[in-house]
Amino acid sequence: MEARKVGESSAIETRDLTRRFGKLTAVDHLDLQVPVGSLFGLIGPNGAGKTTTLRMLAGLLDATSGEIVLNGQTMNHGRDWGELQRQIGYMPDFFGVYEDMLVWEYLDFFGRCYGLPAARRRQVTDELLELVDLGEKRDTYVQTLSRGMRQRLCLAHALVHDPSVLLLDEPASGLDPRARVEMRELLRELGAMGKTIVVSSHILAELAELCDSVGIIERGRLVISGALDEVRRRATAGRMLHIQALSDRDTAMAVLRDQPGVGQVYAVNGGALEAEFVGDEEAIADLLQSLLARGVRVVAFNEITGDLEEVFLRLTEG
Amino acid sequence: MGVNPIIVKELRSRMRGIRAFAVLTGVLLLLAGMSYLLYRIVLQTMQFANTPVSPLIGQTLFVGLAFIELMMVCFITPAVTAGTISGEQEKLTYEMLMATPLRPSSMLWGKLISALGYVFLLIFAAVPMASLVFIFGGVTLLDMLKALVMVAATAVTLGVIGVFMSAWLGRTVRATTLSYLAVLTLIVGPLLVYIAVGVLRQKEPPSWILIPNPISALFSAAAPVSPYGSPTGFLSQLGMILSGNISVLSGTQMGQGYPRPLYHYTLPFYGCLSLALYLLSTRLVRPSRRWRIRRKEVLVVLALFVALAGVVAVPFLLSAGRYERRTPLPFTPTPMLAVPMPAPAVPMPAMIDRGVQVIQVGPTMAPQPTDSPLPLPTTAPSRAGAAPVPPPTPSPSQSDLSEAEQAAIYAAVIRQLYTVDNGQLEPLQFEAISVSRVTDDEVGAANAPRGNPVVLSESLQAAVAEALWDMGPQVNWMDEVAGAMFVLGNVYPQADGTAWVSGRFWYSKNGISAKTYVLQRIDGAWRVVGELGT
Repeated sequence: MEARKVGESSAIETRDLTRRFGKLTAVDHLDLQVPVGSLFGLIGPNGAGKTTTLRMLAGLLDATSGEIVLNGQTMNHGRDWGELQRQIGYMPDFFGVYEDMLVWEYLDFFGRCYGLPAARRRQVTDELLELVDLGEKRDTYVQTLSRGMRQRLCLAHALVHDPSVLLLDEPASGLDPRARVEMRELLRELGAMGKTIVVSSHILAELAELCDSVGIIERGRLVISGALDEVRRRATAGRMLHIQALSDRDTAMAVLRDQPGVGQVYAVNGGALEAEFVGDEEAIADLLQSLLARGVRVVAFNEITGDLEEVFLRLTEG
Repeated sequence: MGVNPIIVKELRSRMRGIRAFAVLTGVLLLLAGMSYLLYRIVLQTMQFANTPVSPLIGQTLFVGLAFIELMMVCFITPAVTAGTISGEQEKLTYEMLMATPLRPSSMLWGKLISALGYVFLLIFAAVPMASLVFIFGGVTLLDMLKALVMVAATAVTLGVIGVFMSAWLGRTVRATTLSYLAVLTLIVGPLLVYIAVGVLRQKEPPSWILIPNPISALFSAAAPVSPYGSPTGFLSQLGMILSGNISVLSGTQMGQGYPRPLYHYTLPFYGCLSLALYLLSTRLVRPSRRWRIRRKEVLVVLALFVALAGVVAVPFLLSAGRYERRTPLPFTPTPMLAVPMPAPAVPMPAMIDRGVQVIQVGPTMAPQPTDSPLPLPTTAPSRAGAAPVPPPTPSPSQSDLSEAEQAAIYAAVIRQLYTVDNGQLEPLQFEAISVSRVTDDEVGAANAPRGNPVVLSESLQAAVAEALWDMGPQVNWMDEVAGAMFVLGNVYPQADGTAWVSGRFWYSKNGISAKTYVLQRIDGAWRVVGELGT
């Protein structure tokens, strides 16, 4: 995997991006920065303004105010509009497919829409079908494809013109676990190809594993954004330790409460403990040592990470 | 960018499988069945006809086929076009298309072309079958072309209406419903207004009310005029009423002149309607900034309408001479009597020669007293019967007589035919009469001189109309002998100062008279003093 030049410059930058539908403000002064080559997760509950934001980024919706800068170029419906559109691949959250077309015709059609010459279309169609693992479905009707296959086909359609930026609106929604894993692999692969990918989702678990930077959006406002670790740190302000001890839970709890940096300690199911902790790796090692020194028989000791869900719940307050 | 991707896609999915061909086959079978039915009906009604049957069959079949085809277009076009834009929106593919550099107007254009392409396939697939009417005759290639143009224009207009509704409403069901309503309004609306106006005003409504009606326009374009009277058959009768060319109530009356046919107005009307709706649709299909219109775009729209106006104006101006009713011109005698018809261009002297020949060998030539009978009042000329006719001595040229004199002669002939030799007991009271501006000596008596047809000059026509102002009906000039109430012959001045002119008056089955009159100048006015032969 080639090293990504994360943070060097922004592929997408929005400034004061606002969109109102009548009285409702769907997107409210959004300042978003998506670094070039990053896999950016746009997270928020339903109705937070994710889709509106993506549609504005795809040029399908005009902003009420504010502006979008794409690869250093301000988006407007001017002469370069077609050029701008060629830099973006967009996959809507609810999409349709032309059921009475063959799979290859579907991609060929979008290739025509992007004005690709015939030879290039043929090549791209075959390559993309291989990429999204639909090679053997080439000559079947789109209507025979399963939901997951359609989702992958739709992703392929957004790639026919080899865009540098991909906007994927809930690409994994409605997929079974297996298809979801496949989709995740596909996105990783695309990320490895150096594309800037913006994925929106309200399902956090998958984004936590996938993305290197996230933006959390609620009621049209950006609550927090940045690289994943940074966001997590800023949001939690401390670490959460998971300790499983044999039998003497009360001793363990007493010992923990004595240690510096430990906040609340909770007893959880199965005799385990969870402790809020502020401190670096050294401090964690010290904590374990003192537990052992006091005769607590520790079975498991680890930091709980990647629980973006909790971050999310804490930040969005429902 | 090559071919419009939408066209490729639409044609791929529309023409794939058996459906498209099943529909096409069904439509052709339907047309064939209807034609056969019409054929049987016409044969039945023509059983005891004393006119040539074949051309009438041809015409009835032709008009019937054109009518069915138009109805088909009216039914199919909205169904094919109303789902074009809204279908994409409902299938949620619209956004994906709009995210590509494909311009919304290209999408609209592609949709319209591919949908109309299918309708046109249905229309033109029927042409070979429709050409069977040429076997029967009575229909010219031009008639066929006119009908095709009218049906195609209707298809385009209805197609644009369907696409517009689709883009506007965004829901296929609603768009389809409203498109059909629009079609119904175009067809039935004008007829209802026409009838309502007629009932309320108690006189014939103006026929421009029928302009938007595709059926009226089609009949005005396709109903051929038969030399044996109005094309018979119920369909043609219906067509005549619908096309607004013929008075609805007075069945015996041939025509109210020679106005511009309705479709001359319908085509520009459809053109404007289609252009306007299409331009509106190009705004409606945009995902954003629909009504932010740049100045350049306004200019383009204006240019388009000006171009359309130009395209309409040229044929209108070119054909103005044939149709527009002229106010009587100031009376200016011109030396030229008539322009020879271009087609059978026999030079003038030859014509005269032939005339001379015929007269000289004429079988029943009786000398007429040179001192003619007493001056007869024009209002009640003598029924001259087989008056003695002097040995004719044709003059070398017709232009011996001034135009004013010719006008007086023709006026006297028409007056005689209309007021006296009309075959009726009661005086006729027509509102208008039609007179062929082309002369035809064949209508005269067997022993009358025969010459080539000529076209009466404009000023001559005006002078004749003016001379007849007190007779009652308005005089309308027609381009051809067929269908005209009055057909006149050439004027043959004789050495003895008289002039021979043939004339035919025919307005219904029992009102035909054809004579060759002998006229003489009495007290400065030309009067009918007798007639040639029988």
